Amino acid sequence: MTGAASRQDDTAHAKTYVLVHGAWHGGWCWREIATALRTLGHVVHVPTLTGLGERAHLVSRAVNLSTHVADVVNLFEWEELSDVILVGHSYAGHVIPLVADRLKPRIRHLVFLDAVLPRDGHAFLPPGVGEERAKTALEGYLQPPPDVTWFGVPADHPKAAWVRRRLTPHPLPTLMETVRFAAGGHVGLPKTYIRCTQRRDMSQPDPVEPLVKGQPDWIWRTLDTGHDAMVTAPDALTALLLQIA
Amino acid sequence: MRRRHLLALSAAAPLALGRPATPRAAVPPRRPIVLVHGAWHGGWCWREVAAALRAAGHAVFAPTLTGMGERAHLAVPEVSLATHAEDVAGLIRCEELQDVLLVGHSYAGYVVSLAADRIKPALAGLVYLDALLPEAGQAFLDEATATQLRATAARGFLLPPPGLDFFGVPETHPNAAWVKRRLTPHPLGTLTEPVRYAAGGPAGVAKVFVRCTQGAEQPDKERAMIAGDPEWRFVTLDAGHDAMITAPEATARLLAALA
Repeated sequence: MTGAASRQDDTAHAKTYVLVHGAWHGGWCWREIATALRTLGHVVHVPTLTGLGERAHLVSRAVNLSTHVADVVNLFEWEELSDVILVGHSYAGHVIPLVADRLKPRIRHLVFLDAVLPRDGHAFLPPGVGEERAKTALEGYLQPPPDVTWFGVPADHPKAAWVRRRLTPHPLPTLMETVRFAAGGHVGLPKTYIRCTQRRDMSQPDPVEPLVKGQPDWIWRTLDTGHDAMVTAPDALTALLLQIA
Repeated sequence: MRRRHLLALSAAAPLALGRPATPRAAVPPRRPIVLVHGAWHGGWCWREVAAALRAAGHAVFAPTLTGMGERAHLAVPEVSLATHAEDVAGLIRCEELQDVLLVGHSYAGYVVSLAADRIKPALAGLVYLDALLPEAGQAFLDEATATQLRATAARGFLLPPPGLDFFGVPETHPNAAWVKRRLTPHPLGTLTEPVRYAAGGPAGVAKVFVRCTQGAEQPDKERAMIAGDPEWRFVTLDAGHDAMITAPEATARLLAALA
């Protein structure tokens, strides 16, 4: 068996990326980014979180944030990944720090792509909001996807139809579970925040920028596109991800 | 070196499935390949094969079936053959794959057959890599055997992985320790469910059976099952049952040629 040795030569500078999609999405949304990074020789994993995308048949009320964290943690374990650039989009801003909480030594860099930063002791949704949404949810716990324009994909965008037909309902318990860090979450890791500047509500100040910009363990980057940058600006996003040291 | 070799083989494609006619100037895109692992394994087992096939220009997907590998936290008694078939069919739908070469190893012969029933128009061909061939209406295990296994299974439904010799991986093989630490218990419910097709299962799709010849049982039961059927071809691979572990380059070369 000479496979291991020969591949080492090919991929001496290869990086390992794990790309985690946001609410209502699936691994499918990274298609162009994953292909571009793999073509350059990098190792790329795009797990679909339980209950979404092609894992929609596994959805149940039992699927919560801990399930999604286990989806990613176990991927690290079974693929034996280390030195990983771990990217989380949108809701996955809650998933990746909890993964970091458990696997800090195996993460090289965390990338929050237009993501929600978690606060220890808080859930994604403020108290009461989940319960309120449950009243109109499918089967009392599945939130139907909003229109693609909510994700910053213009209705007349060439990929709008693709995204629309692939979005799946999102299980509310994942947004209602309180975040609890045992080891400080993402503290102590190098991090990049990528803000997609075509924000939904431009009248409000950016809630993340003051927390992140200029902080020693954070790099602040912007992309002039909407929230679903992997759909609307895959080349620019790939270029940013390649810059991560 | 390996990349060139794969490309050359793929271009020559002596075993390739019929490809739709394309304009002479256009380079046909390489077929996407979906690799489905067998019992006790996970997507992890295809690591080297997937890397080689991607280097040769294929889009490669190696989903882990529910309840196994990195999806072990989802193991419940309800995980069935239908769950696993949907794991694969759902992937092909959500990734919107067309003209797919769908490969099933070992137990996944059952999985890809039932998946084919659900997404047949997306398939270019099926490869059964040292795989089980289901018979419509039959479960892999009869009820008596299933009852026996249930009695000793962890939590009443999880079958512990056998030793590496079962998979044709010698204890002295450099990858032996890797495989040993990654195998997970297999949910019994996937082996007790009769195979029921709504659209003829794999019928009508070009199929290749790849026999891993090292340690193969004689007479060859699967070869006899497909003998004389024009939808089937039979080829051999000089490797043990876990060819993706012990002969990843030869396995990738063969799959690239079949695609």
